[in-house]
Amino acid sequence: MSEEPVIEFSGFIKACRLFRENRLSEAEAVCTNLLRKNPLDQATWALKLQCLSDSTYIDELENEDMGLAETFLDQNVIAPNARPGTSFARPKTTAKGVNPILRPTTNAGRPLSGVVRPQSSFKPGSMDQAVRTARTAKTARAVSSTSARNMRLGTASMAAGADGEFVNLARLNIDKYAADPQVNRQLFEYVFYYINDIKTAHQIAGTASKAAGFEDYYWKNQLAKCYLRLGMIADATKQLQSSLEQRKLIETFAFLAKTYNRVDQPMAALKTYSAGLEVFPEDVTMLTGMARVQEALGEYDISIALYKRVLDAQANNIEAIACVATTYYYGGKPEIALRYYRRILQMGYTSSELFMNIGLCCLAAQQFDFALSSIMRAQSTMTEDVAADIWFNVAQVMVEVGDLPAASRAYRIALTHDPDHSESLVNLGILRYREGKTDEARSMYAAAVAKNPLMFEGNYNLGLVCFTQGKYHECRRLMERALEVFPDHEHCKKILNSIKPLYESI
Amino acid sequence: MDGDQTPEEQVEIGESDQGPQFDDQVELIDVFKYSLDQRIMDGCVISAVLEPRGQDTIVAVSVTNKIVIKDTETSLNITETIRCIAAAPFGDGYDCILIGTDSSVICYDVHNNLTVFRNDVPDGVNCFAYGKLGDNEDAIYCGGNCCIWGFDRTGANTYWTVTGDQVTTMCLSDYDGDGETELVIGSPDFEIRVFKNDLMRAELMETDEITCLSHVASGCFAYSLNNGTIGTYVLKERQWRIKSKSNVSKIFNFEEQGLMVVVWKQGKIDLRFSHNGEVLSRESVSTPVASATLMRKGEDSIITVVSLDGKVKGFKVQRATHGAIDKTQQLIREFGQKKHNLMMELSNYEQEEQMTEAEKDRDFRIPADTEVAVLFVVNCEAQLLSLRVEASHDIPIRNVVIFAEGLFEGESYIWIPPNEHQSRSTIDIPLIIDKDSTNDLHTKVFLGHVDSNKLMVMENTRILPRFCRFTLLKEEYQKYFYMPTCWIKFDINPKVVKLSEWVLESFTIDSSLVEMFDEAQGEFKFLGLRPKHEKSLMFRISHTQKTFEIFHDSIETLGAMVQSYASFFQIQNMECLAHFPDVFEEAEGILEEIEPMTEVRDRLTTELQERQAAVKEIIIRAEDSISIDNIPEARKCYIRMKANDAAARQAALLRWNNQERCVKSLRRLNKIIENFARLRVGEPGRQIVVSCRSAIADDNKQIVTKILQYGASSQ
Repeated sequence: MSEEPVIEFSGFIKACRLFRENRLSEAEAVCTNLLRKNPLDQATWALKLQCLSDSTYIDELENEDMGLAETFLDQNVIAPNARPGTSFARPKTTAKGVNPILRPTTNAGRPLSGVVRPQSSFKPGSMDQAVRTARTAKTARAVSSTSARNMRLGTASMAAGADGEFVNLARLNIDKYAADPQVNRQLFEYVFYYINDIKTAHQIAGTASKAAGFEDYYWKNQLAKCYLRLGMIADATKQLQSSLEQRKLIETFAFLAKTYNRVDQPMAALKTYSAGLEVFPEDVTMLTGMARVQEALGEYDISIALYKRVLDAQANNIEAIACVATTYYYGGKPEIALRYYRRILQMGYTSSELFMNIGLCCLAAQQFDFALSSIMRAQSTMTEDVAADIWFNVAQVMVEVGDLPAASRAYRIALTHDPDHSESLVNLGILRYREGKTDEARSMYAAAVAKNPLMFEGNYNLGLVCFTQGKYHECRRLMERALEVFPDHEHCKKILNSIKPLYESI
Repeated sequence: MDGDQTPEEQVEIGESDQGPQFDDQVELIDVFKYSLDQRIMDGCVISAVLEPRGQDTIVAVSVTNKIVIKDTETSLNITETIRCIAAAPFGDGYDCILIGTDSSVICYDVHNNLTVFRNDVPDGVNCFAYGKLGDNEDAIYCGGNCCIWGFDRTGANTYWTVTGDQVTTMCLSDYDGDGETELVIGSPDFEIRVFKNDLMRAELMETDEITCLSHVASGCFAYSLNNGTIGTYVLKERQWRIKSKSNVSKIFNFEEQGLMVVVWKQGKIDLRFSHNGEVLSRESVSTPVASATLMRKGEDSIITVVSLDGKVKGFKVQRATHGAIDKTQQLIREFGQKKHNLMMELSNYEQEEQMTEAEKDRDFRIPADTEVAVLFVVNCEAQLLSLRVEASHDIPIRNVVIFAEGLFEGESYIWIPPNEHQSRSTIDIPLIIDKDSTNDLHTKVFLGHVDSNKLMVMENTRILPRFCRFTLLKEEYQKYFYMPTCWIKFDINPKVVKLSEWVLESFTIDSSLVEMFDEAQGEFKFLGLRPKHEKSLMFRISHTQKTFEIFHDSIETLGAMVQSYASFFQIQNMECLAHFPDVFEEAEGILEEIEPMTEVRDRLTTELQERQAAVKEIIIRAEDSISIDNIPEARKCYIRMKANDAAARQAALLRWNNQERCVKSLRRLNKIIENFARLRVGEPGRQIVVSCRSAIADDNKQIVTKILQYGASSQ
């Protein structure tokens, strides 16, 4: 056997092999060499395009980053104030829905989820507030999605092509190549993912779709992707619907639902997912999408039921496990939550957030030894972007064990990591207030409110201080704002009622 | 009264004649009044049930292009320009709002905040009608420019046809009383067209632009015109009409059969019987009306009127509390008037008897046997048709009044000699006719000697033949005959026994000459008269080969001729061969042009979008700079924004121009298809529309002109 000569691939076959093995940069190097010899070799050219675009490929489906400009200067939403429960802007605010005490909201006032998703940073309120809210390098929201993450990805890849751009789009005869079914897909993906020139990508897709006689679902989906990036939601919807008429694909359903989410029509998105489920029973993408929408609407029970269905179909779906665990934790069943988190750990995924969550579950389940070791592990593995949250949770643990000085120290550390961590500011303020340093507490609360005007705790606590100091007018204003976030909060209502006679007596 | 009734016969309909519970003791009382606090767009008001087990709610479009719903804090935001709205029960026990914009139809479910469907209608939607048409399922019908679209509850296109002009108003009504509803549409070209499924059933000529149509009772629909006329049609016949100076905003059926509500733009509200137009009760609001609708509140039906400034007023119909208004008094007065008139007449006769011959002579009597002849005369030299009024015995004509609908500006024509000594016994009144339609000319001729102080009035009615614009060519005027380049050719139906009968009815022709149309073979040249005097007409009839060829350059006129021919001989289906080189060329041009145009539009739209995104981004950046007090940077941003904004505007303008051209071409194409469909009768005509549409949809464009030329069955 060993006498047989080792077959060495060379030339184009080698590049293909390398590409198949996902060794993109090597494949690309081979292609570059081949192209130097014969610049007109279309197969090599297409392969190189594929290598380049694969290296910067991102899942468009999960690319939900919306910039400030899209959020606040959007004109696609038909009903800006739809009935609660039918719009992401107004999740259900009943006891079973969003209750900021039983289950905290994100600092954007959104229902808290088990995983972090860009979409969950939708921010209610005015543009003015959003612009004024401090944006540091870490919490920065992109100004607009055309410039945002996509630009960052684009610039990263620019460095790769050392000797200038591979394809000069300005000189390329787009109509010719776009109509050629042999290379147009590669060219499109290259322009879309690598160059990030959406206008040209759209032109390619349009020409290609026409060349295919408007019967190729692939190009319709690509056109829809371009329209989504350009913010032309209605056109995207139209393309996707027409694509579905030709071939029913999971991707198309998911994109269609995504377009509905973008125009704030969750009910339409849910309908689309259901239609998808009819064609593809128990499909994970459809179920996950549905669960996410329900979660964002504050329908936790339905959402969890859906995530459980996801787990039936795909037992190692981390998003589903994390979301189920989160709900159990906030539902007062930390032991069950712990088992879910441990399951994630068993699957080989580790992160400081996970260890912190396990630690918190253990603490709530009275397993202090485990809790401590988990938290310590979280601390040792944490990265800069989650440091503030980790220290905040450490402080929470300190409060639970009664070590208030250590807690306030931990809060301060959290604040050094992220000066905008408003939760830490509020809690530190509470500790100061207990120490009788009312003015210091006041300034902490005020800082928290300034950083995050929609925060319930900040507004409420500042209102309380104002109430004790007799600043009733300010107190009333703050309480009303707190009630906007949490309409059913009894204490706020009581305080407002007790202030009311004072107003009436004037 | 807001107008007097024209000499129109009043047809009575049988059983459902009277709403028995309504005597003349009914009044409208206002039940509620509030304001929407928005200026409302003319005509865009509906009432709809927006949630399950909900109540009727007022939905209106504000002039700022937002949809205002009563009792909700915000308005709906539509990016395109709204033209009309409607409600359709597409929801689960509630209504969805249908929004017609200048480029699409949006069906929106307010309860669930979801767009049920959104369909492109390239040339915009002007009006909606919801209901069951013929044997189709319930669907929504959208009237655009020269075409009508139908969509079912899922948004699937179930219906499409072309029509002669823009559709301004529609309703579904049983026109011919066969138990199935027909689609009745009104257009600015004075015509009401009735479609049975997608086949044109009838065309009703009115005297002005149709502004409103509404189904008011079974087999009966009401219409209103721009000149203030309202009336109804029952089972193919116009039943009554009333003229007034004000304009109608909306007509709708009141819940009781046989009652209709007419709301006028100036604020008057009439409750009328639909069988004779008699007013049952009236009310008014003080402000100009945007539109009105009927709302159901529990048991009651409330007439809700929304004025342009957003004020909403509701009226309920109930038995009058002040007892019977003195109807008897009125009756007595009427009879008194009648008696007075009769007495006057009687005294005139008595006076006559008492007069001596001498007295009579002094009076410049005209002989008792004086006759007035009213004839059509053609002046071939001037290519002009005129109405010749000729009085016998050389009695001077002092005055002629002609009443004919739609023929003259302002519907009547008065001829008075410039000074009374120029009165002659024969006068010619030029008739310049633009439309091909039969018309009744009611002439009143005032005769009398110049010094006479009494004039005799002679009345006369002549029917203006449909194609009176053509006259048989005389040899000496051959020079005025221009050989037409276009022609149609069809087989003479066996039903046609005497072609001359049709010719006699439709053309101004000497009855002595008409016999020759029944000869075995013949070529007949007609001279075109003003205003289209350079278009001549020629028939080539061969009874032996059973073919009939018509040569003429105007496709509209040929269409009208074919339709008139078919209806005269009651031909149900007729195919024909059409040859219109110019029109074919135009159609091909449009078909070739449309595809690149839609492509360019796509590209221009993306460009516009990109520019807009840039502007948005700069706005945020500028706000950022201001919030950190970096004013110089903000200034830079705003300067950049100005440049980008200008670029965006430029892109928008480009796109708009392109869109405009595209819509224009489409409209023209629809019109062409419609014209060719009218050259055929019945099913073949319908087939033309259907196959042209599918050919265009399948991108099979070469075939379109073939279909237009040879008909759909040639495929």
